[in-house]
Amino acid sequence: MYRGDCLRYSRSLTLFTEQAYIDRNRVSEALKILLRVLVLESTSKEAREEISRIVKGPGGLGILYQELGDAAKSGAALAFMATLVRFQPTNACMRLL
Amino acid sequence: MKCLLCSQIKDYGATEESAALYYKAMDATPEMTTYVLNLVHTLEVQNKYEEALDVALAFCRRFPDMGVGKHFFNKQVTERITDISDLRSERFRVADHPNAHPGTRRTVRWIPNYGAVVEDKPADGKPNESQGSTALPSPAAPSPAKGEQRLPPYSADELDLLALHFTICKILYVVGALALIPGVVEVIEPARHGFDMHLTTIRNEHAYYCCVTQLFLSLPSPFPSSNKVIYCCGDSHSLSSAWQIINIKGEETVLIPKLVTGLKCYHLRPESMFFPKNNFYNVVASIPRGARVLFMFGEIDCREGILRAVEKTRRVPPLNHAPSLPLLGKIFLLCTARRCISRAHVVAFLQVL
Repeated sequence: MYRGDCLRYSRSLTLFTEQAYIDRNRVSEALKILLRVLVLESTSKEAREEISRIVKGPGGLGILYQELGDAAKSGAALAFMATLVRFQPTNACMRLL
Repeated sequence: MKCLLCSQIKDYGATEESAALYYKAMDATPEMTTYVLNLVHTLEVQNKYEEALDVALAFCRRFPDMGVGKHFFNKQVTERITDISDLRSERFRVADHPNAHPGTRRTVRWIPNYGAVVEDKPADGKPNESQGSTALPSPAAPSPAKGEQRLPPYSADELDLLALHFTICKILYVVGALALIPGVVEVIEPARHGFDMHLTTIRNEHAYYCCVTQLFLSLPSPFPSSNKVIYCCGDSHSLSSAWQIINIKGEETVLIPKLVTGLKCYHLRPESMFFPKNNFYNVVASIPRGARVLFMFGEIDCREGILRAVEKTRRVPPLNHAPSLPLLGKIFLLCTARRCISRAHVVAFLQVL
């Protein structure tokens, strides 16, 4: 239930792609929530899709580094995220467009 | 055309961002071979073979004493790959090129139940193929019983490093730097002798390496200099025809591979966002305007995996799943209509069903 709520909330924050990227804070908040979902459930397909979509968006990598905080200095964390966005199809992107 | 393709590429897998993250991961932990290997594979998806090779070699130069067991060290590999400012130059294929690489006079022979052996090409040009054949375990074959498996005694890092060197060979073959391959094979081959590498995590890299070393004997020798080319765009099967010479109306024509690793027609269906589709568009975008192209996809779709996929109802039955083929047709039409590709030929493998 918690996971589903988090996903729904994060999606609502970035639902209107263009507007969301104007408001960087909303995307940051969505990403923060999604990263927590990923910690709780590392195989969550929806969370992975949403994260990939955000990272692919304008300034997405910068927002990711910001939300990773100290973890952005960890090779393991960066490689995990690299593998996640490489392999994760971004169907959500097409759904929203 | 390239802009159109690029706009499509962007949607299929975040490979640019993935590469940026791997670069940063390498900065944080430079000695992690697995990051380098993954970055190299990501750059392959982007069709950036030169950059991928640069990354691999830079890693090997940075850690020259890192090795696989006691078989070889990175520095031995980098010593064999020098002066590579233009990897696609004919000097790496044509022995009588004014600036020919010494490796053009060497070849690799695959000996069944042993492996690859590097030797000088005979003076008359054509190597002896009498012993040549290939006998690798089929990927579909059941694994040997646990007690009979000969797993290599390497750590995960050593396996990744070996995979990196296998991938270097693959890249050299794909870009046509054939003369550099015998030297690398000579160094790394002993590390795989006698082991069931197909049972390890680096089975795919090993399979490409074996494919390259087995194909070597069938390469034209001496390799002619020719400006006429046909691009062969396909999955790993495009390597079989790679760098062969065919005669078209009296003109020697080189078959240049345009490899899209692991692409299934299934991946090209409209709703697919999987990264091989990204690879496909990157590769097609790299084909020069007006080129003649042979497209060959679909074989991987028809392997044993499709039976499992149908059983799990992941996919519709193969012949109905052919909507992917009309999609391929649309892509070819688009290419030809825009005169980017002068003539496209499609080799479909559905008849194997």
